[in-house]
Amino acid sequence: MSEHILEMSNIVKEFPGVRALDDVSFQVKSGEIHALVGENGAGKSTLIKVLSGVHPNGSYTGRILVDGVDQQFQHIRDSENVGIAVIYQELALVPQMTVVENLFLGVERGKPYAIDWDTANSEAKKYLEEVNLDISPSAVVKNLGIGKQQLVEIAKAIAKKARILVLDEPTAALNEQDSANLLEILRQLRDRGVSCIYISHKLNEVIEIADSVTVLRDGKTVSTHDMHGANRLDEPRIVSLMVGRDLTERFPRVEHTPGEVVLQVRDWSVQDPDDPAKNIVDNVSFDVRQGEILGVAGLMGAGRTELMMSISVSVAQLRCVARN
Amino acid sequence: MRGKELKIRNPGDAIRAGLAYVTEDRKGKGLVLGMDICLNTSLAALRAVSRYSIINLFEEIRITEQYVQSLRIKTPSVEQKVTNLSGGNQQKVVLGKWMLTQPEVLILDEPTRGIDVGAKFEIYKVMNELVAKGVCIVMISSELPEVLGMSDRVIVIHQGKLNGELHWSEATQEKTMTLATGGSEK
Ligand SMILES: Nc1ncnc2c1ncn2[C@@H]1O[C@H](COP(=O)(O)OP(=O)(O)OP(=O)(O)O)[C@@H](O)[C@H]1O
Ligand SMILES: [Mg+2]
Repeated sequence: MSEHILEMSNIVKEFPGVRALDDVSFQVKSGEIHALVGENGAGKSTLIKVLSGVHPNGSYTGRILVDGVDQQFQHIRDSENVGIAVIYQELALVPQMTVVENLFLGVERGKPYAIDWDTANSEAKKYLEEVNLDISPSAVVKNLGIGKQQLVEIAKAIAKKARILVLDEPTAALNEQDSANLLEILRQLRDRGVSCIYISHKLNEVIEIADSVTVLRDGKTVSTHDMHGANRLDEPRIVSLMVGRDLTERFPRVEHTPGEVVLQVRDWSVQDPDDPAKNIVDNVSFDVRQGEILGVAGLMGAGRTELMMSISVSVAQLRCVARN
Repeated sequence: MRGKELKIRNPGDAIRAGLAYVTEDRKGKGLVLGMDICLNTSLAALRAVSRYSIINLFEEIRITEQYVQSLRIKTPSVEQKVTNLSGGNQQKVVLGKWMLTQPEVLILDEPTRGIDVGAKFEIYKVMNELVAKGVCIVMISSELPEVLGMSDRVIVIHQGKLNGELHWSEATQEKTMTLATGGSEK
């Protein structure tokens, strides 16, 4: 068997007016976590869509080899059949269905006419354990937090016997704890031989988890780096490979001189739609001044979005009333 | 409004001010608070509608091209369908659209999620330009370095309550996290 579980070579993919992939070659070793980084529009997601059969064979040129064998995927199902599973940031779970229903959607256990729910449930438990998820298989997906939903997606990939797991910006919407948890699961999967392609703009995570890093720029492969060797990349180096120049400053801080108060909020509360006895925003007062940037910090779920969104809706309502 | 009433010292001022709420418009999020068309359009058009009675197409294209450049939106032309753009570039379009309207209060909810480091920097620069023109920006962000790196002042919310306010010069990662997890400043 070749050292590489996956080899993509000389991939060219064009859209009207855009050469999204311009002779990209990309190789993933068996049992490694391989990060794919690059600026917005560099071609990361397109490369994954070529790999998964979303862009079918014939719509691009170049070769895809899995375990050294040429592949011509016409359909997502074809890539799934050789063990490729892709998890997009937009989760593909059916929110109204239960965890077990989602896990086996399309591959229902048992006899042709009846689903064997006992078997399905006990198997589901096993897969959930593998991703450290302590939830009931009969839990409805929409009632789980986004972090848990992400893990259900991974459990689903395991259920499909994925050998190459691809995650396209999996942690963008996760809080720190859920992100850390997800990275830990990926490490465990790697140690069991699953290869993983990891796309993220959070470069600190890339440094933390990747065995190899490939940088794309303008549809071309810039370079691939071993993250265990002496030439491992640090964050500034990844950035300069991505953007093609050094980026010394991260935040352009300038001194602002705040003026008069433009928006004054006093004793602002918003009821919890799921529990009217509770407030998700509770008695908040603050001012916003002209010509300043006011940061709103807090943990995910602290009520920051509800606070600001409810204020903006109220102001808009007043505007509509005033206009009519 | 649900909960308590909105008390603005001079409601007329707040209304005239114009306020835009920009969120990363990913699946599901737009449905959290259902808004009707009147509200949506008034939010989207704000000043652009109230100030100009005629839409100047050439001007529109010129300004759009300017934003495509300054936000580094990767696209063959300004007429490209947004669905054909990469994820991060779609997010930049959402941001650019709202920045164009130049409301008095611009609320940005996780503005740089999914955006690469280089383009983030460009977005921060545009934010500074807007502030220099008198716009106030409220930025919700879960990326602490971003909040601390860009804000003049930081308010910290914990379980729906305001748990402290820090001037940027005193706002450290540790202090902010302490407040965010319910601790006190002391
Ligand atoms: N269906 C399509 N039609 C036309 N152009 C497309 C299409 N899909 C992608 N592109 C273009 O291909 C290029 C690469 O896009 P891609 O989505 O692969 O970028 P990305 O590296 O994933 O970026 P991001 O970090 O923003 O997600 C972009 O210029 C994009 O506009
Ligand atoms: Mg992408």
